[in-house]
Amino acid sequence: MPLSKFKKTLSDYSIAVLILLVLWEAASMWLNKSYLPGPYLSFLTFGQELGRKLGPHLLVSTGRVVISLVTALIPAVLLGMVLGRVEKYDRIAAPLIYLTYPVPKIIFLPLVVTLMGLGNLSKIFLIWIIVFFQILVTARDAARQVNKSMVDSVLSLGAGEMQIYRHVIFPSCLPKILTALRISLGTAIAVLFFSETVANLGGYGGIGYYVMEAWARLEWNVMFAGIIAMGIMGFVLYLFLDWLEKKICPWEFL
Amino acid sequence: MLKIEDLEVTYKNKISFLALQGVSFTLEEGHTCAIIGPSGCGKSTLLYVLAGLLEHSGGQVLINGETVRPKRRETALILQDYGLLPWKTAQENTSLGLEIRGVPSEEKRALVEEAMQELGIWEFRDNYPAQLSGGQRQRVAIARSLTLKPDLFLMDEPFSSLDALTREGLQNTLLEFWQKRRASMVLVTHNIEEAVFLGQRILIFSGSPGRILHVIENKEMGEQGYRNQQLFYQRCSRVREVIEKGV
Repeated sequence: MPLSKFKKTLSDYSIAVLILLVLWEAASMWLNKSYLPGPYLSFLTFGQELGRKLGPHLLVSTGRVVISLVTALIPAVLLGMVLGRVEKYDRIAAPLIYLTYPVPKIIFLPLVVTLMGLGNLSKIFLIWIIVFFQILVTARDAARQVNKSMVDSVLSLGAGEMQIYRHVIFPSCLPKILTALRISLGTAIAVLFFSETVANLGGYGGIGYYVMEAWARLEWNVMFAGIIAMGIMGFVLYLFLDWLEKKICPWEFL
Repeated sequence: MLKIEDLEVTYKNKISFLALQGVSFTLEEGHTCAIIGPSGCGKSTLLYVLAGLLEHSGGQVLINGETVRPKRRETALILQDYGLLPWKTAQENTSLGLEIRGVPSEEKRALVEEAMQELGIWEFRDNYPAQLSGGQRQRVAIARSLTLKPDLFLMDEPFSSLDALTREGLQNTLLEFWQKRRASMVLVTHNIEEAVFLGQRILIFSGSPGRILHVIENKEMGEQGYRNQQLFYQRCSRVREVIEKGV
């Protein structure tokens, strides 16, 4: 990104941040209750807490989101592309997906926790199963829509099936997969928060746990430090996906 | 040499549909033939069969004495659109055929540069297809097939989406190239002038099921300034007459 454009983006974001902070401050002053501290106190606490307990909690949560997204992404994309391209496999898989996709997987939380315990595994798996389906369906639908003449023209160059996937199907689906990933990121963080509030096994429980604990002790500014941490985590991951798309799909931004 | 005997193609979807019936013709090595006819007359179907991308239900298709098969390396297929991949630059698109064949990168680069220079698109090598004009895109598609040194060119309405001047420029380029290399060429078109300019033999098809209605020999094709000769116009009129009246 050229410097002038970067500066412009930065100033656009600064204005947005300012508007949000002003609204927050106004709401806090108007309510004048301890449970809605203003941005100054909240960010101050955030700064202090980051060096203490909040930092490790944030790392734990980020790790869970990233691991579940990456481990869901790879098999979902591979399987989705195959289902989208090979009709006979899709005929077996499609009814299964249609029946299971609309079921809110979060409902399996008690079962998952019972089976996998209170540690990382149950939380990562719960996010995994939700994100996996979202990306699977997107990748399959994208692979179905790949232009047939494009495939034919590459076939006529002597391409084998693997090369069709590599040169045609995968790059054709990539922008849609990244969009799905961005949407999944929001879902993943929401599910993460929920699963972290429900169950924890010693150590650092993650931001969800941290927020619930602060709430229980009525330490409102600490609770808001946790909210800020989760917001920043989402924002940074979102920016990363944005950057990634520009990096690996340059043809989409001509 | 290309030899087609009593070719029949049936599409078997929900209803079976006879796309081509009783099509026979031969194309001697290094010669060109243009196929023209109304929409839906099976012109493209024929080309797909020749490219080995579609199976035929009857008859025989021989290329150099061998039954047609998928992925014959010396056959090049050029389509109207979508021949290029939007996510690859002009240079990457041109080298795709060589890459698929696992040609070492040094050799690949040299062949790609040679072909792109020949078609006058080397300076656009880093552009994506979306940043190229229609004519430049089709030049990339032609350059890509040139890198594979094909002996049989199959073209499906390659210039139909281009404006008149760009189209003539590409027709001239194609003619020069054919005169230099003498590869066999089958050109499907719906443009009468294009068929007469590039086909030594013109096959006129009629539809449902597609079959050859008439064959017009056009041996003068490729002569200096043929496009402006009286004979060229007469041939065009003749082709038009057969298409319109069927005789």
